[in-house]
Amino acid sequence: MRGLYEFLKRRPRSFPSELKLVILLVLSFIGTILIFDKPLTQSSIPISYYYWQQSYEVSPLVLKKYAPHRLYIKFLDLAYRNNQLIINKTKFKQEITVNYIPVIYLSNMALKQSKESKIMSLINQAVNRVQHQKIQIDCDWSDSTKDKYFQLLEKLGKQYAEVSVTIRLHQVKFFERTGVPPVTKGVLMYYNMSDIYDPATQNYILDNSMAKRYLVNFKRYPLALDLALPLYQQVRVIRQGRWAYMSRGISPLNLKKLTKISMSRYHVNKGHYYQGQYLYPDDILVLDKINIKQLKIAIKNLTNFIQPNEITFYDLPSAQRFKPVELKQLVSELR
Amino acid sequence: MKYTLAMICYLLANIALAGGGESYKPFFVDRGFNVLHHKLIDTLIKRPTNFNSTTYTWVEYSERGVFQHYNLRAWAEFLNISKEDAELIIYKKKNLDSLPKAVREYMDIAHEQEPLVNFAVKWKETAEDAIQRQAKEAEMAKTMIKRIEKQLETTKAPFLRQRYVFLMIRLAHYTNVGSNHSEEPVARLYEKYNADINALDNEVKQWIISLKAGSLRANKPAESAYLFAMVYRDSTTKRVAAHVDFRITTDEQWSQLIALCKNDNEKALMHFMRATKTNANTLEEFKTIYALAPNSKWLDSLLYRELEYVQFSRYYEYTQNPKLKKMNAVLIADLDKYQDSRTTDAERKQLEQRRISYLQKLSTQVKKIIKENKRKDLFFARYAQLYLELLSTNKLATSDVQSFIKAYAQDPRAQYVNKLELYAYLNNMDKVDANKEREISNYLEAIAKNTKKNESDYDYEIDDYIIYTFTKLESFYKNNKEEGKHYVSKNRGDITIDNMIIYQLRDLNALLKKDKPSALEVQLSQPLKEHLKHSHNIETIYAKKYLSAGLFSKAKESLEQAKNTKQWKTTYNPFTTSRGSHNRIKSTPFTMKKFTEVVLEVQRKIKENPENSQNHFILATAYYNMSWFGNSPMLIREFRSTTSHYGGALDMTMAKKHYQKIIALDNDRELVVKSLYALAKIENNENLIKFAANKESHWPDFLTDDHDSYAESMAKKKALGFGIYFKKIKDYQDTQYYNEVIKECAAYMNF
Repeated sequence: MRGLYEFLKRRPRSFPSELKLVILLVLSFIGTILIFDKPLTQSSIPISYYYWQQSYEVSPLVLKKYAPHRLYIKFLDLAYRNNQLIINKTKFKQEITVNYIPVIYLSNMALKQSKESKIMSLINQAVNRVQHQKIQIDCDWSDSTKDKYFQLLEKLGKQYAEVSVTIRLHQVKFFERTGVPPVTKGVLMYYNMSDIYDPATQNYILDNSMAKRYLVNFKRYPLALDLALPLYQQVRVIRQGRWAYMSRGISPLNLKKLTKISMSRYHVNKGHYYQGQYLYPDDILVLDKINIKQLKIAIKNLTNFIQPNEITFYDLPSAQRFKPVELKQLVSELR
Repeated sequence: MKYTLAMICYLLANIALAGGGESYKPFFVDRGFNVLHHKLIDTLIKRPTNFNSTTYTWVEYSERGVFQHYNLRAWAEFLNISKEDAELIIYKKKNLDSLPKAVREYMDIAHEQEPLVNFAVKWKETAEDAIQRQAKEAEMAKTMIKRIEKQLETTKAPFLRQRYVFLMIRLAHYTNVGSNHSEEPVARLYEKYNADINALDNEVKQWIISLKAGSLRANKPAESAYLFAMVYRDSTTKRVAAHVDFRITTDEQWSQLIALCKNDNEKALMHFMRATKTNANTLEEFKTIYALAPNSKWLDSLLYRELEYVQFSRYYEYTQNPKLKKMNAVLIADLDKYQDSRTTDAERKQLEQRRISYLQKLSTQVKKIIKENKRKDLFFARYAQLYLELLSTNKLATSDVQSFIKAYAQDPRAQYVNKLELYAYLNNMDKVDANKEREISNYLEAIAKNTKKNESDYDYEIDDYIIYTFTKLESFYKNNKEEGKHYVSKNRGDITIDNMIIYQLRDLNALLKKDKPSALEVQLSQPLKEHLKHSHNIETIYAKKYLSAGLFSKAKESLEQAKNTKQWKTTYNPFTTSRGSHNRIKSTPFTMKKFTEVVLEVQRKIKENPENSQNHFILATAYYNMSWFGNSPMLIREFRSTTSHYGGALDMTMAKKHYQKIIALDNDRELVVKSLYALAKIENNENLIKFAANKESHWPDFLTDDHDSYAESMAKKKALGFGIYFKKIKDYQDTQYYNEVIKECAAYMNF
C-alpha cells in the first residue's frame, strides 16, 4: 500500500493507463472485501440440527462430517389420544457424544388435558436436572392453553438454567393475542406453514410466498429468536380428493405407474406400494421438496426480520442430502 | 297471568327459532343413526378396527378383556371350577396350594417367566443397562425354556402341554425380538412341538401362531402377514392385534403374500385386510374382492364396515382425534364443514353432492353384485341396497323393506331388518295419530328385543333408533299441538325441567300415569320419570312453575295435592334481606307451602290496605329472593348454576315494582332507605346481566381485569351510569338502617 501511495504522490496530475488498471484492481479488491466482509463474519453463525427420532442412533461419521454446534434431541413426546396421555420417551441406543439440548414435544391437546404437575413430573423424569441445565419445549399452544403453558414455562425456568421454546410464524404475527412465552429465547420454526389437509397446498414444508404473509411484527416481537430451517422432504397422498396421509422422505418414484401432472404432483395410474404404503389408482402424490434454492429465498426473505445467533436445521438425518459446505454457505447468506 | 303468558311466548319463540325447517336432512346432518345390527353378517369387524399401529391404546373394543374372558373360561373348564375361582388362581395367584401337582408346577413356571416377557417401559434405564439386561434376559429365557422342556417330559395333559409350548415360544420370541433374531429359535420350537400345538384346536393355538407370525416379521414379511391374516380369520381373542400386525410394504412382499394363498377366498381375505387399514380406498378393494371371490364372506364384512362409515355411526371416534377428522374416511369430515356456520350455502350444496356421489358409487357396486347374481348369498347386498337408497335420497318405500323381509322370511337374519323398516315407515309419514303411534310402538318393541343392553361391543347400536324416531316425529307433534310430546321429541329425549312449561309437564305426567303405556309413550315419558327419581314429586314441580309465574294460589293447590312426601325447605328465610346482594344470612328455612301461605297472606293484606309499606317490602323481598340473585332461587327452579346467571330466573320486575311503591308511599323512612338499598342491588344485578361477557361467564367484560381494585371496578361501573339509588341514599344518613347496614357496604363506600 505504501508503494502505491508514493506512486500517487509523485504523479498527481495525470494517470497512465497501467496505473488506472492498478487503481481499478485495488479498488475492486477493497470493494470485494467490503461487500463480503459481513457475510464472511456471519458465516460463523453456529449450525445445529434437530434429532427427532424415537430412538437415538447416529453414525460417528455423520457427526464428524456435519460437526453440529449442537444437537437438539427430542427426549420426550407427549401427545393425547382417545382420552389419554400418550408418553413416548426416546430410546438411546448409544451415548450422545456431541453437545446437545434435550427437547420436549408437548402437543397442545396433551397440554390442555393433563395436569401441569403431571407434565412437569414427566419432563423432570425424562430430562435430569442435574445433568441438563438447558431444555427446549416444542408446543403449538392455543389461546385456551396459553396461560397454562406459560405457567409451566415459568416453573421450568426455575428448574433449568435456560429454557427455550419453538415459535411458529403465526405466533409472531399475532403475538399480542397469542402471547410471548416467558423464556430466555425462542426458535422460529420456518417450516410447516400451510394447511397440510388442503389438497391445493403447493408445498406444506416451505412455501416462501405463503411465509411472506407472516413476516410481520418481528421488530416488535420481544423475545430473542434463533432460526430453524427445514431440510426434510415428504410425500402427501391425496385420495378421493382429500388428504389421506403423508410419508417422510421422497424415495425414487415408480414412473411407469405414474403420470406427472405438474412440477410436484403425480397421478397414480396403477396401484402399487410406495414408501411402505399402497397407492390406489387415481391417488395424487404431492411432493414437498426442499432444495438449496428454496432455502436461499427463505433466507433472503428473512434477512431483514431476524438476526439469529444459531441456525438449527430440521433434521440431522435429512441433512445427509446436502454437503456440509452447502449448508454453511447457505447460512452465510443470512445478513 | 301475564307472566305465564310471557313465559309461554318466550318458550314458543325459542322453539320456533330452534326448529329444523323443511330442508332438514337427518342422515346428512345428524350423526350416529345406525341401521346396522351386528348379526346381519357372519363375520363382523371388531369395532373399532385399527386406524393405525398405535391403536392398541385406544380401541373401544377391549381385546384384552376378550382374551382374559376366554382364558378364565378355559381354565375353569380344565380345573372344573367356577370362573371366579379361576380368576383367583390365574390372575391373583391365590389358592395355588389347592391345585393338582402338575398344574401347580405349571403355575410356578408361568409366574417365574412373567418378568421376562413384560415389556414395561424402564424409565431410568440407560442404553448400556438395557443392552446388558436384554442379554441377561435372553440367557435366563434359554434356561427357562430348558426347564420347560424338562417339564414336558413328565407332563401328560394336552391342555398343559400346549400352554407350556406357548410359554416357550413366547420366551424365545420376546427375548430376541429386539435383535430380530427370534425367527430361528421360534421355528425350532414350533417344529419340535407341532403335535402339541395342534393337539387342541383352540385359542392357545392361535396365540402360538401369532407369535410365529411375529417372529417372521423382520425377515419374512409376506409369511408373517399371511399368518396374521389367518389368525384374524380364525381367532376370537387376537383379531385386533393380528389386524394391526398385518403389514405389507412393497409390491414384492404383496406378490409373495398372494402366492402363499391357497385359494381365491384367501386372496380376498388379504385384500380385506388391506382394505380395512387406515385410509384404504375401500371401494377399489371391494371391487377386487368381488372379482376374485364373489362368494367371499369378506365382501359382506367390508360392505358392513363401509356402511358404518357412511351412516356416520363411527363419528365419535373421529371427534376423539383431530387428525382422523381430516382424513378421507368416506366423507365424515365433510359433516363438520357442513355444520360449520362459516360454510356457505353453495359449499354445503357441494358437500351434499359429494356425499351423494360417493353413496351412488357404492350403490352401483352393490347393484352390480345383485344384478350379476354370481354371489349365492345376496341377503346383505340387498339390505345394503335398500339402506343406501334411504341414505342417499332420504326416501325408502316401506313396502320395499317388507318385500325384502318376506323374501327372507326363513332367514334368521331377517328379524334384524326391522330397524330399517321403522326408518322407512317414519320417512313415509306425513302426520302422526294414535294408529301410527301404535305401529311405531310395535316396531320399537320388536327392535328392543334384538338390542340387548350390556353387550359392550355393540352398545352404540342401542338408542339411536329412538332418537331417530323423535327426530321424525318432532314436526308432527308440533302440528298436532301436543306440547309434551313435542318438547321431548324436539329435545331428543333430553329434557330440562326449568325450560318447560306446565302444559308440557302435565302432558308427560299423563303419559307416566297410564296403566299400559305403549313403547313410544314409555320413551316419551321416560325422561320425566328419570328426573322425578332424583327430584321432588310432580306437584312440587308444578308449584315451582306457578310460583315462577306469580300464581301463588295455584302453587298452594298443587302443593296440597302432593301426598306422603316430605316437604322441601329453603336454606334461608326468603323474606329476609342482608347487606350482601344475595341476602344469604343465617335465618329460618321455609317449606314451600309455608312460603306460599305467607305470600298469599301478605297479598291479601296489601289488597286490604295498599298503603302499608311493610307488606310491600315483604312481598318485594320474596320476589327478589326467588330470582337467581336472591337467597331462595330453588323455589322456582330445579337447577341453579353457581357460576353463571345464564339460564337462571332473572326477572326482578315484581320486586322492583313493590320496592318503588314503598318509595312512592314515603310513609316510613326506614323502609324507604331499605328499599333504595334493595333497588341498588337490583340495579347492579341488571348491569351484570346487561354487560355479561358471555353465556358461560356472568362477569361483565368491563370488569374482567383482575388487577382492578374494588374502587377501580366501582369507578368503571359509575362511568356506565350505575348508582341511581346510591345517590338517593345520601338523603337518608340519619336512618338506623343506614348507620347499621348501608354505612358498612363496600360498594356504597367506594361509590
